[in-house]
Amino acid sequence: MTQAAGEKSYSKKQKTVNIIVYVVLIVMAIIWLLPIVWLVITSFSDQLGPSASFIPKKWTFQNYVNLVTDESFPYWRWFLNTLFVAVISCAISTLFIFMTSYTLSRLRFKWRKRFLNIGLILGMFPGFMSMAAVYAIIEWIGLSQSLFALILVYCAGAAMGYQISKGFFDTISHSLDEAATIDGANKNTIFWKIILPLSKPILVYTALTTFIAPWVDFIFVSYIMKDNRDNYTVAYGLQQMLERENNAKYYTTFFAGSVVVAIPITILFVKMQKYYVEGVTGGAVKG
Amino acid sequence: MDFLDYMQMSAGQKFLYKFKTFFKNLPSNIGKAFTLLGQKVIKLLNTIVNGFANYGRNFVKGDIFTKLSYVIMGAGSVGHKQIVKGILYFVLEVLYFAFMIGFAVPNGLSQFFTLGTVETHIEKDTWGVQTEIQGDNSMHILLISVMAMIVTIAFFVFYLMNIKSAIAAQETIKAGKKPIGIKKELLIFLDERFHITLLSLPIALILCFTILPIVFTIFMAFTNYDQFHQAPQKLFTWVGFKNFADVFYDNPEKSYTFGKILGWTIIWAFFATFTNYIGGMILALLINKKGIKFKGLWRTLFVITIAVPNFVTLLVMNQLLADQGTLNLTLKDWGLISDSIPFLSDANYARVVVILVNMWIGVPYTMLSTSGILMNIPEDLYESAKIDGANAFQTFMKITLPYMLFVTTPYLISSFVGNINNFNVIFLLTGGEPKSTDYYSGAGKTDLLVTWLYKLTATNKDYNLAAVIGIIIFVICAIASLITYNMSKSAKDEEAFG
Amino acid sequence: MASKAKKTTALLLASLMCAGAFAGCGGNGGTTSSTAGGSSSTGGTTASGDSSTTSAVGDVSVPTVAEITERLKTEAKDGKISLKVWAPNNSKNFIKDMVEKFKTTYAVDGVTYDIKVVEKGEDKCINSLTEDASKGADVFQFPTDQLLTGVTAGVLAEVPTVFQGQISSENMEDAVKNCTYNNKVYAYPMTSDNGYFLYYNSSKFTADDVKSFETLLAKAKDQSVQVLMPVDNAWYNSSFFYAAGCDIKLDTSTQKMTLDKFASTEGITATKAMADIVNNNKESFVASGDDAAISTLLSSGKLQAVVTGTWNTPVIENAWGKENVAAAKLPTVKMNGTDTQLHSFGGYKLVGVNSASKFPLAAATLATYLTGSEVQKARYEQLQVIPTNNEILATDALKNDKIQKAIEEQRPYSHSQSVCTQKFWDPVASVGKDIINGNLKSSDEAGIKTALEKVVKSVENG
Repeated sequence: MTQAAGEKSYSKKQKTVNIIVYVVLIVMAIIWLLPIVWLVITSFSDQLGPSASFIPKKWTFQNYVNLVTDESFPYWRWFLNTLFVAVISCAISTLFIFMTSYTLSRLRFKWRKRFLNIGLILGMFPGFMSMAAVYAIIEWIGLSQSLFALILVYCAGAAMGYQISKGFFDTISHSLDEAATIDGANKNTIFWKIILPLSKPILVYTALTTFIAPWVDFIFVSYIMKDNRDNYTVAYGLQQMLERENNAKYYTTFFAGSVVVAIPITILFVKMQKYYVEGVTGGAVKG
Repeated sequence: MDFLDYMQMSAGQKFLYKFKTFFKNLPSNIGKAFTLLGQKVIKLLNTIVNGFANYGRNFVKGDIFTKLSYVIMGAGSVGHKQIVKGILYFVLEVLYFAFMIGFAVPNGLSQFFTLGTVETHIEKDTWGVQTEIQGDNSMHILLISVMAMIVTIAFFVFYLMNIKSAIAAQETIKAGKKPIGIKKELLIFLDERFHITLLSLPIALILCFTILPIVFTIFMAFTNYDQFHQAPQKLFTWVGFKNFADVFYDNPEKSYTFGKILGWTIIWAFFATFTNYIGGMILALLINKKGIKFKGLWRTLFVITIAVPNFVTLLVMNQLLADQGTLNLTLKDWGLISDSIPFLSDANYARVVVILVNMWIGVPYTMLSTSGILMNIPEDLYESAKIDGANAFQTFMKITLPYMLFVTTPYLISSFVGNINNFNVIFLLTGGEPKSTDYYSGAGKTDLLVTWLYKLTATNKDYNLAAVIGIIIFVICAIASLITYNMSKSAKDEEAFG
Repeated sequence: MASKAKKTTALLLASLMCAGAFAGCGGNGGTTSSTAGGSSSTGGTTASGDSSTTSAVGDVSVPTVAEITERLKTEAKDGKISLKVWAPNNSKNFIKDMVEKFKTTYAVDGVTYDIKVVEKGEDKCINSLTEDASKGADVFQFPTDQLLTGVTAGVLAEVPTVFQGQISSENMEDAVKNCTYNNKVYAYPMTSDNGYFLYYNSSKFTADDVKSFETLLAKAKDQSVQVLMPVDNAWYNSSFFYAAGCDIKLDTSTQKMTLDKFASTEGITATKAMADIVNNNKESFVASGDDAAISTLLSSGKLQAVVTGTWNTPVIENAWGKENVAAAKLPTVKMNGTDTQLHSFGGYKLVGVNSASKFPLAAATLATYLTGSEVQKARYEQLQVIPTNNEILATDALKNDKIQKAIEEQRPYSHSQSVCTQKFWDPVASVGKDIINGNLKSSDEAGIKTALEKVVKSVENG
């Protein structure tokens, strides 16, 4: 066999391999997207309750209209609540996470190791194990059943999620700090002028994860809001639509509501994908 | 044994090697973990003893102001011309005693040992209309007590700082210099003590909303705060280690349930972690394979599934897979099956299904986070494999997987711990069902410790049992992390030699 | 905080003493004349005029509206009575209307009512109250089987003695029994249809077809349609055990349950009958399914008969067409060769008052009003739920109601679920589940016996 023929058969083999890979990818993509397609389709079904077939018999836009008009399930109000909580808690949490992870990564002080360990240990207790106590504290402060209580709960523990961004800060070279210190900058200046501009990927990653948290949490919402329906967030409100007593009436409305909440988050995710990957590979895995 | 030696072994050998070293090192790693713990305790005791010795020595050495600051905080600072600082210390002391005497002691600490004696009761008027007369609230008593303890510890830290600063100022004056003023002192917080500036607010919040509740919950594990003793209507009190005894051996139903759920939790965490890890890696490799077009598009398709909030997809899956759900009915309609497949209602099916659905949720995520590292695998490793004539599978087993395991151990540990606490997948998909008659009320065959904990709190109202489970979850995670931490430390040392 | 709690306690004490003092006067004022709370037909503010019906029970007589409002005046704080009512999605608007009527009926000079109606599912009320009663509603609805939980947790207020007479004289005896625990009345009976019976499509089955399960299933098979009864749920499969002669008992002082004859011949007969129905009718019988499943199957057009309760009426009417919906008592089942009537659990929906209510008399009055005959009548007319009030049950409208007829037919065979604690449901449900999974077969008597013994053990000792 000549050299060229060998290469030819090699590339032919490559081609068949690639075709197999394409087939596998297509099958996987179908499996992964099917439930989401079903989610979208069902949101246009004219049936109120669960249906027996994948494809609705009749198509309607009514479920989306219900999101705005139904007064028992004021979806748009919940949507705005969530947006409000998400924006504020994203800003505060990101700040806290940056403060903590920067300190633990780049500053050297006596209790640093101890703080790292305590952070690790606290993270191992299941989050809602102490929900009853958190609720009692919130009631004392006089914030029970309010959106500020939610913001407080989301932000208060945020600093413990320092690991990934600490991992990222660890990878930034220390020589930059040293050069700046020689130039007379104090640590405050170094943080704002040198580290922060280099941290765009991890900033986006942190902001993204903290922004999404309120959209998906329903445990704390259910515990804090109780019967104050006006202050529900989308996740809890949507979950309520599938409860036994509402299922028959709000099933397809749930699907419509889910589509509406998924759209902005999906767009955010797809747009920010690059930063997300950089942040998570820089922080989580290497760290 | 260095990495290159290791790389030259076959997949089977590698597995054997890993397996052997894991179990060979397990006792010593556990041993090491406990020795480490012992060392830490001894170190802590030492620090405390030294602290007290210093405390006494400094009192003898100190001048009148320093001595005074042992009783009146800030006296040392005022005496040494740091007026503002001194006043701040003094205000802190006043506030602390006001809090303790005015609030914490009467409402909490004084009843800490009984957790209240006056039960809430009912009084009726002539019509029989009942009014509730609030008695002691055991829960508030306990919470205030814990709060007082934490505040006291924090106060003690400031108290020591006050003495330290008094001595420092005294020495500065002795050396003939002027103690620094408040303005300069504040500037230090932007430089040498920048960490204090950055950390104090987050730590204060963590103290209030994480540490205080956790300590409270740990105490709760030693009480009889259950469905029959619910505050504020009823009192609860201390019962020692009874709840732990119940869970481990004393109460057959509870200990049986605990054992079974613990076993499943660990099986689940193992499979959930590795199926996602390997599945995600394979997907990443497929997408990043040379010659595959539209990489961005493929990635985006899978990213969409991460982006749709998982409570939505899980609830949708739950509807889809129910006995009379859309999937079963469609299959029946097509004549493929005659009986519904019990995806979620049969224990064995359900356990497989939750792991598969978890893959559906987790694989794209792993794909995203491992893509970067996969690209970083040195090309020459692959080249040498190609020369050896290895096929794709062999290359994966021989090079990719070991390399990845080597680099991403911390990621694996954290996802293992994360899966032990993976609440959403189980709670939303199966709710822990199918239930089992052998289990303690309400627990089911797919329940993890963490979902059982939730049920115990939210439905059963056995807060004390829930607290015990919470502590156990913590211990499991802590031990797992400690052991693997030690192992990965030794792994890192190996790497350094290689 | 605790100091605040003390203040509240003092306030409550004070108000209680005031109430007590006024009670003395009020009691002297009108001991003989009284009116039945909600039945004052004028609906005006001065309802004391038409107080002619006396329904005094024991030595305490039912107070007049005037007497009640007088006491409410002292109960009000700063001229205000604030109450919160929980109502489920489907009756929220109805409760809102009734609350407005209550405000005018019980209008008090110088006192404004601030009554909020908040949506909350009936089966979640008791649980929410045990979490934090102070944030809970003052008045709420709940199904009978949760009475015990509420009493144990101490969140249910007793019905004032002066209202008890009216409740027990106006409502079905069994309903009142279901509100009572250890001789104390803890709730106000509201509806009597929280049980189950058979719905069938009258265009597919005749009234004779549905008399026995075997015929029903055979007819269903002929038309290739389906019948559903969720035997994987203890609430439904208990009907087989009761029918075979088993019994369920509760010792109220220890809260220990006894499953009588479950692990003997009677229980085995019941299990075998259940297994026969499930296994011999694979095509026509659906043995499991919650409300979501019922809705799904109805939408597929296959389900044409179903054992369920009135809460599913709208879904069923939607699927079959209102004119085709028929109801009957449960069918008979062959047990040891003889046709045996299936029994059932007959539950009620009750109204409860939060024991932590700051306005206990106002809350109790509102609860009495919401379960009084006037409101029960309106509830039936607007929401088609079956009342507990004897007079309304005796009216022509209800006598001709097809669903009420089915419930009435089933009533002799229906049992109160107040004997069931939380421990009951899962173990007994497992019998049905094991049959569906194929673990229990009617030929395997020994296996059935072992399974039943296990069930009895875990219910009685668990």
